[in-house]
Amino acid sequence: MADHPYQGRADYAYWRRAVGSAPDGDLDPFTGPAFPIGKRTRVVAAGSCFAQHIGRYLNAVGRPCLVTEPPHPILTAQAAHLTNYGVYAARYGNIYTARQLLQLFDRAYGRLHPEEDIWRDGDRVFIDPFRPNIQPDGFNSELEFTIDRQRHFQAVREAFERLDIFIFTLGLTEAWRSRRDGAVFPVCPGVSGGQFSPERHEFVNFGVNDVVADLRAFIGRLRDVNRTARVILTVSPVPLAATAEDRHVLVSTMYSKSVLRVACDVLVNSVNDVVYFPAYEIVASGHAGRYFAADRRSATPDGVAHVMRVFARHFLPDAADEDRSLGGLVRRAFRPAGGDAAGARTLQAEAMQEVFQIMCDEEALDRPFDAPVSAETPRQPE
Amino acid sequence: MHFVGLGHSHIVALAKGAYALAAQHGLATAEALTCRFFYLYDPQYEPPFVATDDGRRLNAGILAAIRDGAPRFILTSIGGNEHNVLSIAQRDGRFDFILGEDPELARDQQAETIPEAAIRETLRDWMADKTDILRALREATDIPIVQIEPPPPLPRKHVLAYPKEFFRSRIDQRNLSPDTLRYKMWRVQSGILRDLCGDLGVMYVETQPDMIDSAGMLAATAWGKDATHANDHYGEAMVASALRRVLDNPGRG
Repeated sequence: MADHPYQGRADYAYWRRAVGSAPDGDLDPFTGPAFPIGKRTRVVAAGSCFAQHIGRYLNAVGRPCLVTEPPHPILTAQAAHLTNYGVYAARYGNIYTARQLLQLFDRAYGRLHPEEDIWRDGDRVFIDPFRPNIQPDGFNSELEFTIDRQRHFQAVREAFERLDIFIFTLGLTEAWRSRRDGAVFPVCPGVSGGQFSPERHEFVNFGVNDVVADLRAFIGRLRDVNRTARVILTVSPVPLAATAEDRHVLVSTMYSKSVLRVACDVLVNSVNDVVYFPAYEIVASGHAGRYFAADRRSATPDGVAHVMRVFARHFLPDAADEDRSLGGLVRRAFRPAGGDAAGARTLQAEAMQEVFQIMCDEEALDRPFDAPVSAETPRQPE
Repeated sequence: MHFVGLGHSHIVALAKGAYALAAQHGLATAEALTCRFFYLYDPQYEPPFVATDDGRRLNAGILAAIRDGAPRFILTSIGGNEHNVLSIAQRDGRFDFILGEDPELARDQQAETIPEAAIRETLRDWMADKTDILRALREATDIPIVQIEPPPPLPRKHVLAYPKEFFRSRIDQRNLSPDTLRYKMWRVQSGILRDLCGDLGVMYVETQPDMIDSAGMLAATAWGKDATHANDHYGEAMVASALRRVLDNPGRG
């Protein structure tokens, strides 16, 4: 029999061996190469909402992501979470498109100054158009907005300059942008702040060339400030919530994910030290398990666990098996990102509470009603 | 008129004030004024919630207290010192924030400026155990409830003068916060309570202006004996204010 190119291929190249006979929950489509993530590796994650799982998981298994915009220790874990401290390295929120990522870099380094830079809602609510849901009720004044964003940009620069590995989860190709200067908003103006105006805003649906160019530009600028930065690309399996194209949302979803998936391959094949991790294939292909919830959009915990299990197998080679297990994940995955920076309640505050409890107890000693039976006041003379 | 008062440590000053008011016929009503107070840290009211098959219910002692003597209304002083706990001293790094209601207030330029939203969520988190009690009280009864605003913080000079050893040993007095920060923290806590009361249909009685000094701190005439509590003079004024609110708004909440 003549030789042919399919002879001698690895098992993963054959559907029957790699997919058809893979046990439930054990399909592993990653074929490397991988960048090992050790305890000292500085990882920064960004991207669509699915990217949050990566940071949460790495925290849970003792590989906390780099946090350059930590919460002040006075904040409780709940407050830090609600105000998006520690969800990512800095408070940039979800980054859905490659253009948004590139523009975050440019804004942080002063290369881009969007004209539509702040949204006002009355006298007391100021929204950042580029992270409109970063905290409840926006900022309370232009001064607070300005102070916070200066600190935020400093933290973004620090993250890009210090990271070893950047994990970016591509989410969308559809976006809304300013007609004036092309500034891309993560959420359509008018949805979470601001006012939509057809004269000022336009819809854009990026193609493969756009995404490749944006990511190539971003990686180039990243390496200008961090020569050894390595990049892991993933595509979020979460479908579009809505499409602005005049077609079915499922068709738009397939278009977007296809563009993003192709862009990843182009980049992996043309830029050094960039790899693709197949989170999309594990969850969305339908071949690794039924990993969408009843809404057919949200990834189930089992799906996320499968993705992270495969990720750990290749990128966390020295993590303990127990840490990489589903049980370990479930036990620790919902520990707030940011590690100990935002304690449940800080030692300082706990100590103060103790002091005030003593004072309160002393105050109670002086009460005019006796414990345990509370006394009644003397009746007013009739 | 009979009412029930219950709450945490600030309830003590209010109870003293209420008794003084009743004794001196302090409020002109046709009815006799009687009241009964309950201290929620007493063992029979702890824990405030008891687990049930389908969740939890309010402690039976608290439920009995709010029905004691068929009160015309319930006066509450739920929580109130959380702003002090978080801001009286700063060991973990100085912080400050801009108060949206009054952005011109002084700010510590050497401190980290935190968004007010983060301060608000932190306070809300610290207050949650107590505000849950207020919610449960509202669900448990239809009679009017009046929540008294916590007293403003006492000024730094009074805090420094507090002589108790436990206080001096546990608070590094070099790290005491500026009065302005403590005032702002109190305003945020008060705002959370005001909004909650509005949502619940609970009357919210703010501190009488003559109990607040020009810097927004508790006026000297209202200082209690320690670093955080007010006195019976304050209590009397606040209860009188609460009574006027109830008489003007006899309906629910």
